[in-house]
Amino acid sequence: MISETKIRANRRNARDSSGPRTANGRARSARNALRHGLSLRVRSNPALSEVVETLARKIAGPTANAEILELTRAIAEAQIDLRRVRNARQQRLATAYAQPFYEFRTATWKKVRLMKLYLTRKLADTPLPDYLVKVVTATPQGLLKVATILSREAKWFRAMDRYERRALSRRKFAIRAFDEARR
Amino acid sequence: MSTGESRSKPLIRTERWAVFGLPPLLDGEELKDYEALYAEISEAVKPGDILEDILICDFVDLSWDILRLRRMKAKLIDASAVKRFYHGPGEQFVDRFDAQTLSQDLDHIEQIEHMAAVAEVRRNNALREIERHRATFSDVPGRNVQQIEEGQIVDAESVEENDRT
Repeated sequence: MISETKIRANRRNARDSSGPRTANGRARSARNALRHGLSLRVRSNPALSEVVETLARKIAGPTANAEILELTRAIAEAQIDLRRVRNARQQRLATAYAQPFYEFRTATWKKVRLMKLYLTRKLADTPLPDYLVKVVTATPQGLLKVATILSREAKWFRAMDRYERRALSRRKFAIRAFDEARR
Repeated sequence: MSTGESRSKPLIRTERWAVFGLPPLLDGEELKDYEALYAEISEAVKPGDILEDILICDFVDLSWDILRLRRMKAKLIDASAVKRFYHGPGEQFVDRFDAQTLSQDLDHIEQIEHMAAVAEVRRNNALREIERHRATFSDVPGRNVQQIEEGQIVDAESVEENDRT
């Protein structure tokens, strides 16, 4: 049986640790669960809603009625979603590509083991031989680096692929509905 | 009913970037190569409206991805199969076929192959959607191609009439 004093103390302590208090802290923690925001609807973002509206009007043409405009909004929304997914993927690739020593973790560990082996032979004071420097500093470059990024972050890229597939499917059916309405 | 926005000229580059976003280029890839691919495909397909532009842009982006993935796969096989072996201080690195490393890297190669296959399916779908989009209106009077053809026929008839008079 928990004593009344202990319950009161627990409640008092809980009040003290009720998360961030400042506006900045609250704003930051509100975004904790946000990874890339791709599951959020485009219309929940005012800036993107405007882009959707512009594109929808462009697709519909100047003489479109409300029904057609609603159909083109669905196309535009799917198209902007697709753009968001592709931008996110491109951004991730470019950021990883910009890292000078990007490689598989297993490759890094192999190098660490190699260096450990070298250092435990009491050769710490002697400079590293050229061949070892070459082996330790070599990282994949160019397309091999891109392949490394795609493999190392395969899970994330697979998730992006799912978003892309959904957006493509939505766009396809939205275009078909639009075409059908215009027939 | 609205006929949507159709036009005779393709979108200019900046218009295209505003609507579809920047080309998916990585460091070391040339914008002029991407644009050349875009121009070639656009010239072959001749987009008639913005929906076709959207689908062509998809087609080009996916083709670009496929080319990159194919080059990547070749590089990966090359880098996995041929490993540099070191033969002790004073000696040189020697390139040798290394089946063990190749078999270890097969998963990565398969992964790249799968990505290329997915991109190919999506690229072909984009083309199929353009065809379907065009076919939807091919039998409706007053649509793009037929409009032009009818216009030409009317012009030809009026020319013949003028000749007779």
